[in-house]
Amino acid sequence: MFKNYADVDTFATQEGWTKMSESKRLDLIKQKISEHNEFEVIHPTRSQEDGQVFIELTEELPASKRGIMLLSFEALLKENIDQGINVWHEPIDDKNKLRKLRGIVVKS
Amino acid sequence: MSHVINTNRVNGDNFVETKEGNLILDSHKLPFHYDRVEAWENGEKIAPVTVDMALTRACGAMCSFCYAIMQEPQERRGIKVQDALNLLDDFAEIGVKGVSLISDGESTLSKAYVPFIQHAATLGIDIGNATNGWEWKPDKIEQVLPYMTWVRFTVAAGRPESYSKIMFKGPEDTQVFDRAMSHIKYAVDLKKKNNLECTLGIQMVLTPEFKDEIIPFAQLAVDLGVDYGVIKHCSDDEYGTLGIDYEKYENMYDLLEEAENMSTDDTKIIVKWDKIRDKGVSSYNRFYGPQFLLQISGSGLVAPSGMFFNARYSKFHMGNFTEERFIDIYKSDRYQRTMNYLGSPHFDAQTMMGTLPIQHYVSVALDNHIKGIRRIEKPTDSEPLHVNFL
Repeated sequence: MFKNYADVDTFATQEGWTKMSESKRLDLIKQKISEHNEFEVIHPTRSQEDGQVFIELTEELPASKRGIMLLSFEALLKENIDQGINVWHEPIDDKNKLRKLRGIVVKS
Repeated sequence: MSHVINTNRVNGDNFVETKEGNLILDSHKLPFHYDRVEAWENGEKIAPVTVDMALTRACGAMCSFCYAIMQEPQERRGIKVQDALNLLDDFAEIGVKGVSLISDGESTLSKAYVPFIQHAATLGIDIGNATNGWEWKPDKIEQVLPYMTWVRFTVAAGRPESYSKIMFKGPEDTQVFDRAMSHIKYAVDLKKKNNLECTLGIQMVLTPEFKDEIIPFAQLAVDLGVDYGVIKHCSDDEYGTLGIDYEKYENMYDLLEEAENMSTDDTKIIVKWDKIRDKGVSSYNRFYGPQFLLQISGSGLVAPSGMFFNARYSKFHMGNFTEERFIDIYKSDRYQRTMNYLGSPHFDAQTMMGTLPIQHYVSVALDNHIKGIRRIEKPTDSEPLHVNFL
Protein backbone atom coordinates (compact mmCIF):
# COMPACT_ATOMS: atom_id res chain seq x y z
CA MET A 1 0.00 0.00 0.00
CA PHE A 2 1.18 3.48 -0.84
CA LYS A 3 2.41 5.37 2.21
CA ASN A 4 1.44 8.98 1.98
CA TYR A 5 4.00 11.30 3.55
CA ALA A 6 3.19 14.26 1.31
CA ASP A 7 2.20 16.49 4.23
CA VAL A 8 4.60 15.09 6.82
CA ASP A 9 7.41 17.33 8.05
CA THR A 10 10.87 16.33 6.91
CA PHE A 11 12.95 14.87 9.73
CA ALA A 12 15.13 17.52 11.33
CA THR A 13 18.05 17.15 13.73
CA GLN A 14 17.40 17.40 17.45
CA GLU A 15 19.18 19.35 20.16
CA GLY A 16 21.48 16.49 21.07
CA TRP A 17 23.01 16.72 17.60
CA THR A 18 22.90 20.46 17.01
CA LYS A 19 24.62 21.27 20.31
CA MET A 20 27.38 18.75 19.74
CA SER A 21 30.72 20.00 18.37
CA GLU A 22 31.63 18.88 14.85
CA SER A 23 34.58 16.82 16.08
CA LYS A 24 32.34 15.03 18.56
CA ARG A 25 29.81 14.31 15.82
CA LEU A 26 32.52 12.90 13.58
CA ASP A 27 33.86 10.76 16.45
CA LEU A 28 30.39 9.36 16.99
CA ILE A 29 30.02 8.52 13.31
CA LYS A 30 33.47 6.92 13.18
CA GLN A 31 32.55 4.83 16.20
CA LYS A 32 29.48 3.50 14.39
CA ILE A 33 31.62 2.67 11.36
CA SER A 34 34.08 0.75 13.53
CA GLU A 35 31.22 -1.31 14.93
CA HIS A 36 30.04 -2.33 11.44
CA ASN A 37 32.60 -3.89 9.08
CA GLU A 38 30.37 -3.44 6.07
CA PHE A 39 30.88 0.33 6.31
CA GLU A 40 34.65 0.33 6.72
CA VAL A 41 35.21 1.97 3.30
CA ILE A 42 33.32 5.07 4.47
CA HIS A 43 35.42 8.00 5.62
CA PRO A 44 33.42 10.89 7.11
CA THR A 45 34.91 14.28 6.19
CA ARG A 46 32.59 16.83 7.80
CA SER A 47 29.24 17.16 9.50
CA GLN A 48 26.88 20.08 9.87
CA GLU A 49 24.37 21.20 12.46
CA ASP A 50 21.52 20.67 9.99
CA GLY A 51 22.33 16.96 9.81
CA GLN A 52 24.35 16.88 6.62
CA VAL A 53 27.18 14.40 6.93
CA PHE A 54 29.73 14.32 4.09
CA ILE A 55 31.81 11.26 3.37
CA GLU A 56 34.31 9.84 0.92
CA LEU A 57 34.81 6.22 -0.02
CA THR A 58 38.29 4.78 0.46
CA GLU A 59 37.84 2.37 -2.42
CA GLU A 60 35.96 2.48 -5.71
CA LEU A 61 32.60 0.78 -5.58
CA PRO A 62 30.24 0.12 -8.48
CA ALA A 63 26.98 2.06 -8.54
CA SER A 64 25.09 -1.13 -7.72
CA LYS A 65 26.90 -1.34 -4.37
CA ARG A 66 27.62 2.22 -3.26
CA GLY A 67 24.04 3.47 -3.36
CA ILE A 68 22.48 0.78 -1.27
CA MET A 69 25.44 0.73 1.14
CA LEU A 70 25.14 4.47 1.76
CA LEU A 71 21.39 4.25 2.28
CA SER A 72 21.98 1.50 4.85
CA PHE A 73 24.73 3.52 6.51
CA GLU A 74 22.46 6.54 6.74
CA ALA A 75 19.70 4.39 8.19
CA LEU A 76 22.11 3.19 10.88
CA LEU A 77 23.03 6.77 11.82
CA LYS A 78 19.39 7.82 11.82
CA GLU A 79 18.44 4.94 14.08
CA ASN A 80 21.32 5.33 16.50
CA ILE A 81 22.19 9.02 16.49
CA ASP A 82 19.58 11.33 14.96
CA GLN A 83 16.70 10.93 12.50
CA GLY A 84 17.62 14.20 10.82
CA ILE A 85 21.00 13.00 9.53
CA ASN A 86 21.55 12.98 5.77
CA VAL A 87 24.61 11.35 4.24
CA TRP A 88 26.17 12.86 1.12
CA HIS A 89 29.34 11.97 -0.75
CA GLU A 90 31.75 14.85 -1.38
CA PRO A 91 30.86 16.26 -4.83
CA ILE A 92 33.00 15.76 -7.92
CA ASP A 93 33.70 18.64 -10.32
CA ASP A 94 32.92 18.49 -14.01
CA LYS A 95 35.59 16.57 -15.97
CA ASN A 96 34.62 17.98 -19.37
CA LYS A 97 37.71 19.88 -20.55
CA LEU A 98 35.81 22.44 -22.62
CA ARG A 99 33.21 23.24 -20.00
CA LYS A 100 35.92 23.50 -17.36
CA LEU A 101 37.17 26.58 -19.21
CA ARG A 102 34.10 28.35 -17.79
CA GLY A 103 35.73 28.01 -14.37
CA ILE A 104 32.54 26.92 -12.62
CA VAL A 105 33.17 24.92 -9.45
CA VAL A 106 30.43 22.75 -7.92
CA LYS A 107 29.45 24.36 -4.63
CA SER A 108 28.90 22.30 -1.52
CA MET B 1 1.51 36.17 -41.23
CA SER B 2 -1.14 35.97 -38.55
CA HIS B 3 -0.36 36.51 -34.91
CA VAL B 4 -2.26 34.24 -32.56
CA ILE B 5 -2.72 33.87 -28.86
CA ASN B 6 -1.44 30.37 -28.54
CA THR B 7 -1.72 29.20 -24.95
CA ASN B 8 -4.86 27.38 -23.87
CA ARG B 9 -5.78 26.07 -20.49
CA VAL B 10 -8.10 23.15 -19.83
CA ASN B 11 -8.50 22.11 -16.20
CA GLY B 12 -5.36 24.06 -15.44
CA ASP B 13 -3.23 22.22 -17.99
CA ASN B 14 -1.43 24.29 -20.58
CA PHE B 15 -1.39 23.25 -24.17
CA VAL B 16 -0.71 24.91 -27.47
CA GLU B 17 -2.74 24.22 -30.58
CA THR B 18 -0.62 23.44 -33.60
CA LYS B 19 -1.48 22.23 -37.07
CA GLU B 20 -0.48 18.72 -36.03
CA GLY B 21 -2.30 18.58 -32.70
CA ASN B 22 -2.12 19.89 -29.16
CA LEU B 23 1.38 20.38 -27.86
CA ILE B 24 1.98 20.25 -24.11
CA LEU B 25 5.34 21.69 -23.10
CA ASP B 26 4.44 23.64 -19.97
CA SER B 27 2.62 20.86 -18.13
CA HIS B 28 2.44 17.04 -18.01
CA LYS B 29 0.53 14.17 -19.62
CA LEU B 30 -0.18 11.93 -16.64
CA PRO B 31 -3.95 11.68 -17.27
CA PHE B 32 -3.12 9.78 -20.45
CA HIS B 33 -1.27 7.20 -18.36
CA TYR B 34 -3.94 6.92 -15.73
CA ASP B 35 -3.46 3.18 -15.28
CA ARG B 36 0.04 3.76 -13.94
CA VAL B 37 -1.11 6.56 -11.65
CA GLU B 38 -3.71 4.19 -10.23
CA ALA B 39 -1.20 1.35 -9.83
CA TRP B 40 1.27 3.70 -8.13
CA GLU B 41 -1.38 4.92 -5.72
CA ASN B 42 -2.21 1.31 -4.91
CA GLY B 43 1.39 0.79 -3.87
CA GLU B 44 2.36 -1.29 -6.90
CA LYS B 45 5.75 -1.06 -8.53
CA ILE B 46 5.39 0.73 -11.85
CA ALA B 47 7.63 1.00 -14.87
CA PRO B 48 8.50 4.53 -15.92
CA VAL B 49 6.40 5.83 -18.80
CA THR B 50 9.35 7.87 -20.04
CA VAL B 51 13.11 7.54 -19.64
CA ASP B 52 15.29 10.55 -20.22
CA MET B 53 18.87 9.56 -20.99
CA ALA B 54 22.06 10.20 -22.94
CA LEU B 55 24.26 7.82 -24.91
CA THR B 56 27.43 9.61 -23.82
CA ARG B 57 28.53 12.29 -21.37
CA ALA B 58 30.68 13.86 -24.03
CA CYS B 59 29.72 17.19 -25.59
CA GLY B 60 31.53 19.59 -27.89
CA ALA B 61 29.68 22.63 -26.59
CA MET B 62 30.40 24.59 -23.45
CA CYS B 63 27.04 26.16 -22.64
CA SER B 64 27.21 28.52 -19.69
CA PHE B 65 23.86 27.24 -18.41
CA CYS B 66 24.65 23.54 -18.72
CA TYR B 67 23.45 21.46 -15.77
CA ALA B 68 25.88 18.69 -16.81
CA ILE B 69 28.56 20.76 -15.08
CA MET B 70 27.02 19.53 -11.84
CA GLN B 71 26.36 15.93 -12.89
CA GLU B 72 29.75 14.26 -12.70
CA PRO B 73 29.48 10.77 -11.20
CA GLN B 74 32.38 8.60 -10.05
CA GLU B 75 32.73 6.75 -13.34
CA ARG B 76 32.53 7.55 -17.03
CA ARG B 77 31.83 4.27 -18.75
CA GLY B 78 31.52 4.24 -22.51
CA ILE B 79 28.16 2.98 -23.71
CA LYS B 80 28.68 0.33 -26.38
CA VAL B 81 26.14 -0.16 -29.14
CA GLN B 82 25.11 -3.53 -27.73
CA ASP B 83 24.58 -2.04 -24.24
CA ALA B 84 22.27 0.55 -25.75
CA LEU B 85 20.26 -1.99 -27.73
CA ASN B 86 19.95 -4.28 -24.70
CA LEU B 87 18.68 -1.31 -22.74
CA LEU B 88 15.90 -0.76 -25.25
CA ASP B 89 14.94 -4.44 -25.11
CA ASP B 90 14.66 -4.13 -21.33
CA PHE B 91 12.59 -0.96 -21.66
CA ALA B 92 10.21 -2.73 -24.01
CA GLU B 93 9.88 -5.67 -21.65
CA ILE B 94 8.89 -3.59 -18.63
CA GLY B 95 6.70 -1.12 -20.54
CA VAL B 96 8.66 2.09 -21.05
CA LYS B 97 6.85 4.00 -23.80
CA GLY B 98 9.06 6.93 -24.67
CA VAL B 99 12.78 7.71 -24.51
CA SER B 100 14.13 11.23 -24.74
CA LEU B 101 17.81 11.56 -25.56
CA ILE B 102 18.62 14.64 -23.51
CA SER B 103 20.15 14.13 -20.06
CA ASP B 104 23.84 14.91 -19.51
CA GLY B 105 25.52 14.43 -22.89
CA GLU B 106 25.32 15.07 -26.63
CA SER B 107 23.93 11.74 -27.82
CA THR B 108 24.48 12.50 -31.52
CA LEU B 109 28.21 11.96 -30.87
CA SER B 110 27.69 8.33 -29.86
CA LYS B 111 28.19 5.42 -32.26
CA ALA B 112 25.03 3.98 -30.77
CA TYR B 113 22.92 6.99 -31.81
CA VAL B 114 21.56 5.79 -35.17
CA PRO B 115 21.13 2.08 -34.27
CA PHE B 116 19.51 3.05 -30.97
CA ILE B 117 16.85 5.17 -32.66
CA GLN B 118 16.18 2.62 -35.37
CA HIS B 119 15.93 -0.24 -32.85
CA ALA B 120 13.55 1.76 -30.68
CA ALA B 121 11.27 2.15 -33.69
CA THR B 122 11.16 -1.62 -34.23
CA LEU B 123 10.16 -2.05 -30.58
CA GLY B 124 7.44 0.58 -30.74
CA ILE B 125 9.19 2.93 -28.33
CA ASP B 126 8.86 6.62 -29.16
CA ILE B 127 12.09 8.59 -29.40
CA GLY B 128 12.81 12.29 -28.95
CA ASN B 129 16.16 14.06 -28.95
CA ALA B 130 17.52 17.38 -27.72
CA THR B 131 20.75 18.33 -29.46
CA ASN B 132 22.91 21.29 -30.34
CA GLY B 133 22.74 19.94 -33.89
CA TRP B 134 26.42 20.57 -34.59
CA GLU B 135 27.23 16.96 -35.54
CA TRP B 136 23.71 16.17 -36.74
CA LYS B 137 24.67 16.15 -40.39
CA PRO B 138 22.41 15.41 -43.38
CA ASP B 139 23.34 11.72 -43.68
CA LYS B 140 22.57 11.20 -40.00
CA ILE B 141 19.38 13.25 -40.22
CA GLU B 142 18.12 11.10 -43.05
CA GLN B 143 18.79 7.92 -41.08
CA VAL B 144 16.93 8.97 -37.95
CA LEU B 145 14.30 11.62 -38.69
CA PRO B 146 11.64 9.23 -40.05
CA TYR B 147 11.77 7.30 -36.75
CA MET B 148 11.62 10.21 -34.36
CA THR B 149 8.67 11.79 -32.57
CA TRP B 150 10.44 15.07 -31.97
CA VAL B 151 13.79 16.81 -32.16
CA ARG B 152 14.54 19.91 -30.15
CA PHE B 153 17.63 21.99 -30.84
CA THR B 154 19.35 23.94 -28.12
CA VAL B 155 19.63 27.47 -29.47
CA ALA B 156 20.84 29.72 -26.68
CA ALA B 157 20.26 32.97 -28.54
CA GLY B 158 18.89 34.34 -31.78
CA ARG B 159 22.03 36.20 -32.84
CA PRO B 160 25.17 34.36 -34.03
CA GLU B 161 27.60 36.21 -31.77
CA SER B 162 25.51 35.76 -28.62
CA TYR B 163 24.83 32.12 -29.49
CA SER B 164 28.55 31.43 -29.85
CA LYS B 165 29.41 33.31 -26.68
CA ILE B 166 26.90 31.33 -24.61
CA MET B 167 27.37 27.91 -26.21
CA PHE B 168 31.00 27.97 -27.33
CA LYS B 169 34.29 29.78 -26.82
CA GLY B 170 33.41 33.32 -27.77
CA PRO B 171 31.38 35.69 -29.97
CA GLU B 172 33.84 35.33 -32.86
CA ASP B 173 33.27 31.55 -33.13
CA THR B 174 30.06 31.86 -35.12
CA GLN B 175 30.87 28.80 -37.25
CA VAL B 176 28.96 26.69 -34.70
CA PHE B 177 25.86 28.84 -35.18
CA ASP B 178 26.12 28.56 -38.97
CA ARG B 179 26.53 24.79 -38.78
CA ALA B 180 23.56 24.35 -36.45
CA MET B 181 21.30 26.55 -38.57
CA SER B 182 22.24 24.69 -41.73
CA HIS B 183 21.36 21.34 -40.11
CA ILE B 184 18.09 22.62 -38.66
CA LYS B 185 17.04 23.98 -42.04
CA TYR B 186 17.92 20.66 -43.66
CA ALA B 187 15.67 18.85 -41.19
CA VAL B 188 12.82 21.35 -41.69
CA ASP B 189 13.03 20.84 -45.46
CA LEU B 190 13.27 17.04 -45.17
CA LYS B 191 10.23 16.96 -42.92
CA LYS B 192 8.21 18.95 -45.44
CA LYS B 193 9.50 17.02 -48.44
CA ASN B 194 8.74 13.59 -46.96
CA ASN B 195 5.72 14.68 -44.94
CA LEU B 196 7.28 13.36 -41.72
CA GLU B 197 5.43 13.52 -38.42
CA CYS B 198 8.46 14.51 -36.35
CA THR B 199 7.98 17.79 -34.48
CA LEU B 200 10.94 20.17 -34.77
CA GLY B 201 11.58 22.86 -32.23
CA ILE B 202 14.29 25.11 -30.86
CA GLN B 203 14.83 25.88 -27.19
CA MET B 204 16.35 28.81 -25.37
CA VAL B 205 17.46 28.26 -21.79
CA LEU B 206 16.91 31.74 -20.46
CA THR B 207 19.19 33.30 -17.90
CA PRO B 208 18.49 36.88 -16.82
CA GLU B 209 21.68 38.35 -18.31
CA PHE B 210 20.56 37.31 -21.80
CA LYS B 211 17.12 38.88 -21.82
CA ASP B 212 18.02 40.86 -24.97
CA GLU B 213 18.11 37.55 -26.82
CA ILE B 214 14.44 36.74 -26.23
CA ILE B 215 13.02 38.57 -29.26
CA PRO B 216 15.82 37.58 -31.69
CA PHE B 217 15.32 33.97 -30.59
CA ALA B 218 11.59 34.10 -31.30
CA GLN B 219 12.27 35.70 -34.71
CA LEU B 220 14.83 33.00 -35.50
CA ALA B 221 12.30 30.24 -34.74
CA VAL B 222 9.81 31.86 -37.13
CA ASP B 223 12.46 32.36 -39.81
CA LEU B 224 13.68 28.78 -39.57
CA GLY B 225 10.14 27.50 -39.93
CA VAL B 226 10.40 25.06 -37.02
CA ASP B 227 7.17 24.02 -35.34
CA TYR B 228 7.94 25.83 -32.12
CA GLY B 229 10.45 27.89 -30.21
CA VAL B 230 10.32 27.34 -26.47
CA ILE B 231 11.82 29.51 -23.75
CA LYS B 232 12.47 27.96 -20.37
CA HIS B 233 14.11 28.84 -17.07
CA CYS B 234 17.61 27.71 -16.16
CA SER B 235 17.94 25.05 -13.45
CA ASP B 236 20.52 25.36 -10.71
CA ASP B 237 21.63 23.10 -7.90
CA GLU B 238 20.59 23.64 -4.29
CA TYR B 239 23.86 25.45 -3.55
CA GLY B 240 23.45 27.90 -6.46
CA THR B 241 26.53 26.75 -8.38
CA LEU B 242 25.41 28.53 -11.57
CA GLY B 243 24.33 31.63 -9.65
CA ILE B 244 20.86 31.93 -11.20
CA ASP B 245 18.83 34.75 -9.63
CA TYR B 246 15.20 33.65 -10.06
CA GLU B 247 13.86 36.98 -8.82
CA LYS B 248 15.16 38.63 -12.00
CA TYR B 249 12.88 36.58 -14.27
CA GLU B 250 9.93 38.78 -13.35
CA ASN B 251 11.56 41.72 -15.12
CA MET B 252 11.41 39.75 -18.36
CA TYR B 253 7.70 38.90 -18.36
CA ASP B 254 6.80 41.68 -20.84
CA LEU B 255 9.47 40.56 -23.28
CA LEU B 256 8.35 36.97 -22.95
CA GLU B 257 4.76 37.93 -23.73
CA GLU B 258 5.97 39.92 -26.70
CA ALA B 259 7.86 36.85 -27.92
CA GLU B 260 4.76 34.66 -27.55
CA ASN B 261 2.81 37.12 -29.66
CA MET B 262 5.27 36.56 -32.50
CA SER B 263 3.75 33.09 -32.98
CA THR B 264 2.50 32.30 -36.46
CA ASP B 265 0.28 29.56 -37.83
CA ASP B 266 3.39 27.51 -38.57
CA THR B 267 5.61 28.37 -35.63
CA LYS B 268 4.48 28.69 -32.04
CA ILE B 269 6.54 30.60 -29.50
CA ILE B 270 5.99 28.99 -26.13
CA VAL B 271 7.11 30.17 -22.72
CA LYS B 272 7.28 27.69 -19.86
CA TRP B 273 5.45 30.07 -17.57
CA ASP B 274 4.69 27.59 -14.82
CA LYS B 275 8.33 26.80 -14.22
CA ILE B 276 9.46 30.40 -14.63
CA ARG B 277 6.85 31.67 -12.19
CA ASP B 278 7.86 29.04 -9.62
CA LYS B 279 11.15 30.96 -9.27
CA GLY B 280 13.14 27.87 -8.46
CA VAL B 281 10.95 26.79 -5.54
CA SER B 282 8.98 23.56 -5.65
CA SER B 283 5.59 23.13 -4.00
CA TYR B 284 6.35 19.54 -3.04
CA ASN B 285 8.62 18.01 -0.43
CA ARG B 286 8.36 14.38 -1.54
CA PHE B 287 9.71 13.51 -4.98
CA TYR B 288 7.37 11.05 -6.72
CA GLY B 289 8.18 12.00 -10.31
CA PRO B 290 11.10 9.63 -10.97
CA GLN B 291 8.88 6.57 -10.72
CA PHE B 292 7.13 7.83 -13.86
CA LEU B 293 10.01 9.65 -15.53
CA LEU B 294 13.38 8.07 -14.85
CA GLN B 295 16.74 9.49 -15.84
CA ILE B 296 19.90 7.71 -16.94
CA SER B 297 23.30 9.33 -17.37
CA GLY B 298 25.50 9.14 -20.45
CA SER B 299 27.93 7.35 -18.14
CA GLY B 300 25.45 4.47 -17.89
CA LEU B 301 24.56 5.43 -14.32
CA VAL B 302 20.95 4.78 -13.37
CA ALA B 303 19.71 7.25 -10.75
CA PRO B 304 16.16 8.46 -10.14
CA SER B 305 16.85 11.94 -11.46
CA GLY B 306 19.60 13.75 -13.34
CA MET B 307 19.81 15.99 -10.30
CA PHE B 308 21.37 12.99 -8.51
CA PHE B 309 24.06 12.02 -11.02
CA ASN B 310 26.86 13.83 -9.20
CA ALA B 311 28.89 11.75 -6.75
CA ARG B 312 27.35 13.88 -3.99
CA TYR B 313 24.12 11.90 -4.34
CA SER B 314 25.83 8.49 -4.39
CA LYS B 315 23.22 7.05 -2.03
CA PHE B 316 20.72 7.34 -4.88
CA HIS B 317 22.93 5.56 -7.42
CA MET B 318 21.05 2.37 -8.25
CA GLY B 319 23.33 0.74 -10.81
CA ASN B 320 24.99 1.11 -14.19
CA PHE B 321 23.42 -0.53 -17.21
CA THR B 322 26.82 -1.11 -18.83
CA GLU B 323 27.72 -3.38 -15.90
CA GLU B 324 24.42 -5.20 -15.46
CA ARG B 325 21.18 -5.38 -17.40
CA PHE B 326 18.79 -2.52 -16.75
CA ILE B 327 15.97 -4.94 -16.08
CA ASP B 328 17.92 -6.40 -13.17
CA ILE B 329 18.43 -2.91 -11.74
CA TYR B 330 14.73 -2.19 -12.18
CA LYS B 331 13.73 -5.43 -10.46
CA SER B 332 16.21 -5.02 -7.59
CA ASP B 333 15.32 -4.08 -4.04
CA ARG B 334 17.69 -1.12 -4.31
CA TYR B 335 15.52 0.41 -7.06
CA GLN B 336 12.37 0.32 -4.97
CA ARG B 337 14.13 1.28 -1.76
CA THR B 338 15.58 4.37 -3.42
CA MET B 339 12.22 5.38 -4.90
CA ASN B 340 10.52 4.84 -1.53
CA TYR B 341 13.15 6.97 0.18
CA LEU B 342 12.36 9.91 -2.11
CA GLY B 343 8.71 9.64 -1.09
CA SER B 344 9.50 9.53 2.63
CA PRO B 345 10.09 12.25 5.26
CA HIS B 346 13.82 11.49 5.02
CA PHE B 347 13.87 13.40 1.75
CA ASP B 348 12.94 17.00 1.05
CA ALA B 349 12.84 18.16 -2.58
CA GLN B 350 12.95 21.78 -1.47
CA THR B 351 16.35 21.53 0.20
CA MET B 352 18.09 18.36 -0.97
CA MET B 353 18.16 18.73 -4.73
CA GLY B 354 18.50 21.28 -7.49
CA THR B 355 15.71 23.48 -8.77
CA LEU B 356 13.00 22.51 -11.24
CA PRO B 357 14.07 19.04 -12.38
CA ILE B 358 12.78 17.41 -15.54
CA GLN B 359 10.27 15.61 -13.31
CA HIS B 360 8.93 18.92 -11.94
CA TYR B 361 5.51 19.03 -13.65
CA VAL B 362 4.90 15.35 -12.94
CA SER B 363 5.97 15.74 -9.32
CA VAL B 364 3.70 18.76 -8.79
CA ALA B 365 0.76 16.85 -10.28
CA LEU B 366 1.36 13.71 -8.20
CA ASP B 367 1.81 15.75 -5.04
CA ASN B 368 -1.41 17.66 -5.68
CA HIS B 369 -3.13 14.35 -6.45
CA ILE B 370 -2.02 12.71 -3.21
CA LYS B 371 -2.85 15.78 -1.15
CA GLY B 372 -6.30 15.96 -2.74
CA ILE B 373 -5.63 19.46 -4.05
CA ARG B 374 -6.27 18.38 -7.62
CA ARG B 375 -6.84 14.75 -8.50
CA ILE B 376 -5.49 13.34 -11.75
CA GLU B 377 -8.41 12.00 -13.71
CA LYS B 378 -8.94 9.90 -16.79
CA PRO B 379 -8.72 12.13 -19.84
CA THR B 380 -11.76 13.21 -21.75
CA ASP B 381 -9.76 14.87 -24.53
CA SER B 382 -7.96 13.21 -27.40
CA GLU B 383 -4.29 12.42 -26.95
CA PRO B 384 -1.89 15.33 -27.28
CA LEU B 385 1.26 15.17 -29.37
CA HIS B 386 4.17 13.28 -27.79
CA VAL B 387 1.89 11.57 -25.28
CA ASN B 388 4.61 9.15 -24.18
CA PHE B 389 6.91 11.95 -23.10
CA LEU B 390 5.55 13.01 -19.73
